Formats: sequence, structure tokens, C-alpha cells
Amino acid sequence: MKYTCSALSASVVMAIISLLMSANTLALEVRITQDMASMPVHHGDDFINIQRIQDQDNVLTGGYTKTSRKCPPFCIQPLHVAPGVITVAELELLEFIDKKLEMGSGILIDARTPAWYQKATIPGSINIPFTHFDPEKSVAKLADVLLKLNVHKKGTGGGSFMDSIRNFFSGDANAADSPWDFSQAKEILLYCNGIWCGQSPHAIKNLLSLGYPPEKIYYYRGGMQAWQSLGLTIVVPK
Amino acid sequence: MKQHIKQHNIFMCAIKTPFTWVIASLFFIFAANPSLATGDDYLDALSTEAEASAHVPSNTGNAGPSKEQVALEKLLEKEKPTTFKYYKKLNRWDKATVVELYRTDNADTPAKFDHLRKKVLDLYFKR
Repeated sequence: MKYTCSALSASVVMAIISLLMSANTLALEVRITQDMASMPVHHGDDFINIQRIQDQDNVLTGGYTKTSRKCPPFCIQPLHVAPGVITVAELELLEFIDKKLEMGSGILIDARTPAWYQKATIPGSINIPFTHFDPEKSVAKLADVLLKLNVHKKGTGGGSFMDSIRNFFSGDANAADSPWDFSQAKEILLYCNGIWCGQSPHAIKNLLSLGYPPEKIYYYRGGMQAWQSLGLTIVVPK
Repeated sequence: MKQHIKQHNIFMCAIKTPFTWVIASLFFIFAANPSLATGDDYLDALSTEAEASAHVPSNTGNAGPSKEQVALEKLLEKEKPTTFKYYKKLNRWDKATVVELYRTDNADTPAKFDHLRKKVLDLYFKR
């Protein structure tokens, strides 16, 4: 009887909290979709509610209003960055947050250099600059980065790990000879500044050259510019 | 015949030389403009562009006020307490609009305060 009362009380409290949250989000005039006003996400130790700016007169300011950066290097990126890699937009990114990031099977990666990342990022992201995936970087540093994606060094079967790296990059090896074990690799969604930004495409191409399964890679081509053009929540890293 | 061949060869040499120079020049021109900038040049360009791009608007989520917002609020509280009272009653998005104006307005201080005061009151009374 005692436990039933406690459970009942907890249920009532949760129901009230849900109702209050629903009431708050129902009050939003500028929703994400007809059925979704906001989405909660963990960002480090914080809990952030992704929603849209409610001021209907709000406009973009700053660097993301530029139309014509010099190309090269800031050239228009193709819709499909590489075969097998899935290009997504905002709703798919939010679904990724909900179904994969929050469940622990996915990682949202801001692939920009720190100078860009420090300005602001999408809630839920971690920063891994695209340069960190360069196969020509030190193996130790690459291993540290890949470990974040749950990618481990394979057993070398007698030879040294450095030998397996050399063999892989000798040009004669195929993906099966990759020194990295991608069997438990997380699904990753990468983005950078927007359609004119090559940082996440660079990162994706480097990951593919290392042997990362393309079906586990998602590319948010619209990037920070598209995200902010919809007034979606951003967070400034501490 | 030999004279003809000799003239032909001289003629071909004469053509080839400037033609070769043109081709070589074109080669160096295109070689100096790679279709995809990578490496240090690209990183330098990214860094320069990051510095040149203005800071993003303060539409941050519930992760706390930005440094600009904190600075603005201290300034308003000290210099324009009446304006600050109205500012405090604005919602998060309207406050972000005021902060953005504070950040981007290049007017001198008295005019800047006027702009901020006007913006705050406009936002307050349009609620």
C-alpha cells in the first residue's frame, strides 16, 4: 500500500510537470513543426530546450548574412558528399538527437576549427575539428579522436600496429585491411558553417579514407547558417 | 628540298618557342590556383574568415546569459536605471534583440544609449 501511494504520487507529479511543459510549448507561436514546438537535449552538463526564436521580426545579422565568400576556398559543396553518406536537414538532425544522440548510439559533431566553434554551436554537439581526422596526423592523436567514436585499433595478428598502418596506406590494402575496428563505431552526424563550408566534407572524406562505414555517417549540409536562419537555438561554449 | 626542310624547321622552331612560353605560362597560372585549397592555406583562410565574421546573434538556449548581455545589463543598471527596469521585464528573445543592438551599434555613447532606450521601450510596449 505504501509503495503504491509513492508510485501514484510520483506519477501525478510527472503528469503535472509534463502538463506544464506542454502548456508552455503550446504557447509558442513559432513552432518547429506542427506537432513539435521544442526538443530537449543534453549539452555537456546542461539541459537545453531547442526551439525557435519567437520574435517574428527577428532577422539574421553577422557573418551568416554574407552571400559571396571567395571560392576557393569557400566553394559551394555538393548535396551528396560521398557515396553512401546520408545528407540530412534540420528535422533529420533533430530526429538524430532524439533517437540516437540521447540514446547513446550517435554523436553530433561540430567539425569546425575552434575559432568558429567558440562563437556558437548546435546544442548536443561536441567539437572535433576536421583537421583531427587527417590520416597523416600522428597515430596516437588519431587513435584518441577515433576512440571518442568508439573505434578501436584492431588486433595486429603478430605484426606491429605501425606496420598495419603503413600497409593500409601503401595503396595496396582495401578497407578490410584497415587497422581500425569500426564494428562498434557510433553513428555520427557532422556539420560545419553551411553550404559554402568544406570543413565537414573534409572530415567525412578523411573518415572514409580511414575505413569508416559510410552508412554510419550523416552530413548536415545546411550547417550553422541554415540552423540559425530558422531561429533555432544555439549555445555558446563555456 | 633541303632548303625547304630547313626553312620548315626554322619556322616550326619560331612557332614553338612563343607557343611553348604561352603554354608554360598558362600552366603556372592554373597551377597557382588549385581547385581545392587544402593544408595551411585553407586553415589560414578559415582563421581569417572566422575573425572577419561578426559574432552570431544571442539566440542562445537556456544556457545562461552571454558576456555581452551581462556587460549590457551592468551598463544599463548603472547609467540608465529606468531603461533597465523596462529591460528586465522583456522576454528572453527581446532581450537578445537588445543585446544584439548593443553589440552592433557603432554610434557614439550618448546616441547608443538613445538607440538602446528606444529599442527597449518599443519592445516593451509592443507586448
